[in-house]
Amino acid sequence: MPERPELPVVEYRGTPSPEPNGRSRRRSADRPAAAPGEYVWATPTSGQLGVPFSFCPGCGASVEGPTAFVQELWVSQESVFHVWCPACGFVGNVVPVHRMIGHEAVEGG
Amino acid sequence: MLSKERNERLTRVGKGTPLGELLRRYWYPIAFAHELDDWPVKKVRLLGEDLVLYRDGSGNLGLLHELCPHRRASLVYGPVEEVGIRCGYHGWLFDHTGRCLEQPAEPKEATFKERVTTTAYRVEELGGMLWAYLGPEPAPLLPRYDVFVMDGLRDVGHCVLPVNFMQIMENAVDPTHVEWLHGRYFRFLQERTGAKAGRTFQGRHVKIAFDVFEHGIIKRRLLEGQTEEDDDWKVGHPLVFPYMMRVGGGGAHQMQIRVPIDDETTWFVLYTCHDPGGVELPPHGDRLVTYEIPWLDERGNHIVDYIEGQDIMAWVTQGRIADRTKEHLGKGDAGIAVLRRLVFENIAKVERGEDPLGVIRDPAKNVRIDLPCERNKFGAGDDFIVEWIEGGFARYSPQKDDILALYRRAQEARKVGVGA
Repeated sequence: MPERPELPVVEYRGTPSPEPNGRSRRRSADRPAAAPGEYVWATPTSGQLGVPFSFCPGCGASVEGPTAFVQELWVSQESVFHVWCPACGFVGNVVPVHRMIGHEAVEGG
Repeated sequence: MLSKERNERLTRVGKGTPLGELLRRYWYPIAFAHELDDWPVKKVRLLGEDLVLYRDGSGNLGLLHELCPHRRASLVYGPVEEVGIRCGYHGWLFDHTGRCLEQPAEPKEATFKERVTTTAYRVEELGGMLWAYLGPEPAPLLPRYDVFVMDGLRDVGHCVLPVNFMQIMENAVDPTHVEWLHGRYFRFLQERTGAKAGRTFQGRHVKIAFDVFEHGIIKRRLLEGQTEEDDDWKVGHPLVFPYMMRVGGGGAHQMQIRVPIDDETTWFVLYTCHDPGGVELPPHGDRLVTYEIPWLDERGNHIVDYIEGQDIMAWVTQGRIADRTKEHLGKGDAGIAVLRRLVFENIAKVERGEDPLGVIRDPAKNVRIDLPCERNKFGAGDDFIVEWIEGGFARYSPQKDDILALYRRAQEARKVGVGA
């Protein structure tokens, strides 16, 4: 078996395509924010968030099967999907962008 | 969140499952060596397989499928012989390679016994523990990690927990839990019950990082008031893939071992070697000092006034196998994502016929494997070790006073050395 080349860890930021193939594409920005003092009786998006892409950004192989690793992390208003593709070894974060921000504080700044 | 299918892939340890096949590429402790001195046979369950461990009269260590292939009675209740273990039911005798040596009720000329074998696995001894390998041949080397081969006062607490081992491993790459579970919650208990909360566990995390290396993942933390030159960041400590964590500080060297008994049960072992340096170690025999750690009180509530008891509460209350389809991970959970990714990557390696991360085959690399581990833990100096012993599982150790005395002598020796 030839040795696999070391792949860089990259962050891919793309705009999600329009409506998904029947999958839920709830985004963090859609989540209703509770006003101060307001009770939140349920988190309607919990457990319903679908992965808003089907293919590896590195090679185009499907990442829908259980052998690929896709882990959602919630970071501020964004959903970050940490991806590992078994076909090409791509490791990266896919971040659907719903709103382009021009200026924001540098992280940790 | 993680999909249901991926959660299954991440947690199922049985033979034939993706993770089960990965886990079968590593050695696991299954008993303390002295247990077989007390009684030469022990029932063992590992990775969902029921086994019998024994030492025969010739000193051979055997690990066989628990049930006799004859009429399926347990070999746990059979006598050991000069060579092998005999089934208590009809006397079939097996050696440690799984060969059937005798079938007393069969005619002498019968060749039946040559046609019968049982499943047998390799066993080796290291650090006062017996280790098993359940994977394909050729077996890799049993890793000689520093804690198991270094000199020092050994102290081993352990317990069996009703939880999948991966939950415990995820805790190993979750640095921020320390300031809350062992910090804020401990203070809360202190305010109401008088439980003594360690000051050294209260530091606020400014930054965390995770680096994959040849034995697993190095976890780093930068606490408020620290710089990147502090041990917690510069050195960190490792998750030893796939089921251990090396930790310590102030002269204590510990391997936290999480042995997957089956999908929903884990043997949690805290193997500690105390060597503060600068003082002579008290005499100790070859026999490990081992003791069970209590984690439930008489009413069935979790015992949470010590560090590991708090951890156990968190792991066990997540459920036997945590439902990761309902979790919500944030940026502070990056280490958990890295660990899960590493599991998936290494499952794929095994499926391709490659050795997974951390498997060692070169004897030159296995004389003694020194793992990176911070010494000045939480930047707390000598305070750390006292709080770690008083506020941790070692409070249950039968030699707790000896351990504390060892550190006191070392501190006094250092003071004298500095003053000289």
